[in-house]
Amino acid sequence: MKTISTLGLLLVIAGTTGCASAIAPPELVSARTVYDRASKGPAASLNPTDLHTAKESLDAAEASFEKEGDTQVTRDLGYTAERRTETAESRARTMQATGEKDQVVAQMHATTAAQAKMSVAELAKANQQLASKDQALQAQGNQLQTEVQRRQEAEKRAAQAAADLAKLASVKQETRGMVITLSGAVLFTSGKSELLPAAQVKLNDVAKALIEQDPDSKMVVEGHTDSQGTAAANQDLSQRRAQAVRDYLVSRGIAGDRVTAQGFGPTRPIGENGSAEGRANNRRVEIVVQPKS
Amino acid sequence: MQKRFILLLAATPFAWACGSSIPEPKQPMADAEAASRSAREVGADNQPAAKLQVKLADEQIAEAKTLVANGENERAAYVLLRARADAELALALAREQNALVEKQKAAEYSSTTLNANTPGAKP
Repeated sequence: MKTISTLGLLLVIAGTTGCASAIAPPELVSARTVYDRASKGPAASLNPTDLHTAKESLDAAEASFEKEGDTQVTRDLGYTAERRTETAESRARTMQATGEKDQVVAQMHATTAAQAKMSVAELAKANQQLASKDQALQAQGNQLQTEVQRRQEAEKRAAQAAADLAKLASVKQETRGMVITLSGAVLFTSGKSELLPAAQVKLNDVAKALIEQDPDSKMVVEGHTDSQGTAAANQDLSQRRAQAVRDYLVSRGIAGDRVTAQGFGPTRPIGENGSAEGRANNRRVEIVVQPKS
Repeated sequence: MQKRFILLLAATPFAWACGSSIPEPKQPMADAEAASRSAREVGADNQPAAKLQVKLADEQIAEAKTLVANGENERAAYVLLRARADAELALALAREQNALVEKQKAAEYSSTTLNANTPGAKP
């Protein structure tokens, strides 16, 4: 009888311990915490399947705890539930990282493609600009060559004209320009301002040479006399002679606005008025071709 | 008669504990071992958290083998449940680490490539 009583007491104690343990084992507590965290984290949206499996494990652990209390089985199930929840979380993070990586790669491809497209467009534009520049350079080169040629021809003509002028009259280079001196005796009868026929022939050649040499330079036709007679008469004569030569040159094709006439009378002698030769030299017409400014 | 009944009651838990009626957990053992191998294959040994989990799994697998050898099949089955959960967590952590490394590499490659293609960018 005593044995039965002892056994009954043992069974009661065992029953109390097995079913009424209110304190959950640490494995289950930890599993609850981890599951709670996971259900609020990315796993809930990214990996619901694994999270559901973890929940089933947790439910099994809870059921075991409710039915049997803090047993080894409850602890094993709690442990397993916690690991499965952590696995669900880890897989969710993996999905997230993979998604982000895919996004980076996709963005890189898109940007690279856009850059390549832009590069092609820029290259085409640069090519077009180069072609235009090349064309412009070629045109410029042609123009330059034409200009060089034109200048060479002009210089040649000028040299020829200068040589021709040198045959017709005395030609000197002075600071005021090229001075072509024509003797008064060749051009006019004494005291007159009408050009002699021979003078006209000579002036034809001078006009031609002047046009050839430099069609743009300004010119001054200067009339000079000796000191015989009154200064006023000489001034007047020199002016009229200069004007006559100027008009004739204009009639031979030199532009009227390029050439002016001015009489200086006896004021600028180049020879002695005391001798016949000196006076002859002083009676002259000078055509001064002014240098280009 | 009463004494016999008491003896039977007392003997039942022992019979249960020895697991004589529970078959050997061959499939759980295979599953746990496979999960552990997989974890190692994807580099669990190179990542501290994964390494710890796979170590735990291996220890539990070894424990389960001892239990099986002692005829404690049911207990072994629960230990293998833990072992498999640990091994699968190790596998997941190792894969996560690999994914993070891949992501980092992609970001670096992208940055280098885009810099190289940007006009005027310094190499």
